[in-house]
Amino acid sequence: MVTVRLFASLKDLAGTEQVKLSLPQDPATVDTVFEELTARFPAMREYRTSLLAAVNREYASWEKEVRAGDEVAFFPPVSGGAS
Amino acid sequence: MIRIVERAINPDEVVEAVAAEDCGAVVTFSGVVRTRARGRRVTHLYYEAYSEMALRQMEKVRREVARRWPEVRLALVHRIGRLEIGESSVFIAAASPHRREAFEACRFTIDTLKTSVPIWKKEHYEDGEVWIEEYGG
Repeated sequence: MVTVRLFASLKDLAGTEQVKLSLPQDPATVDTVFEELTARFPAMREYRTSLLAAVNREYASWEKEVRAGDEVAFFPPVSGGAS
Repeated sequence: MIRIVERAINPDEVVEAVAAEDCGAVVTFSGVVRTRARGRRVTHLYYEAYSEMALRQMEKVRREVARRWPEVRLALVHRIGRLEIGESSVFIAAASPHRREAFEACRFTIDTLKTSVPIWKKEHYEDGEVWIEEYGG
C-alpha cells in the first residue's frame, strides 16, 4: 500500500485529502500510482499534464520509483505568498 | 526561524529571530492579502499547505540563501488557513552586516518560495471561489 495525498483542487475533486492504494507491482512508478488513482477518480486524468508529484515529501518525476509504504503526493503548481 | 502558522504573524518575532549585533541591515517582506485580483473583488483568502514538505522546501531556500550570501541571517514564516484583506500571509526577514545582501536575499527568498514551496491559495469572491494554481499567483 502507498498513501496518496491530494491538495488544493485535486483534494476538492476527490472529496478527500488522503487515499490508500495498493501497488499493481512493487516497485512501481509515480505514473503507475497516478493511473491507479484515476481509476478511482477518472476526472483527475485531464489534470495530468499540469500536476506536480512528490515522493516522501520531495519533488519527483513521473518515472520515480515508488515502493510500498511510500507517501506519494499530487498537486497543482504552487501559489503561496502574495501579490 | 522557519515556520508555518495558523494565526496572525507577529513581525517583531520574525525580526528578532535574525537580529544580531554585527548586522547593520534588516530587510523585511510582508505579502499582504489585497482586495482585487484578476479583476474581481476578493472577500478573503484561504491558504492550504502540504506542511511537512513545505517546511522542508523552506529549509532548502534558507540553505540556498546561506550558500549565496553566507553573512545573511534569514527567517521565513508562512501563514495558512483563512486570511482577511490586509493580513500578512508570508513574512520574511533577512539580516546582514550591510544592506545589499539583505535586500538580495529577501527578494530571492520570496521569488523562490512562490515557485517551490507547496502552498496554495484559494480566492474567495462575493459570488464564488477559485484555487489559484499557477506560478506567481
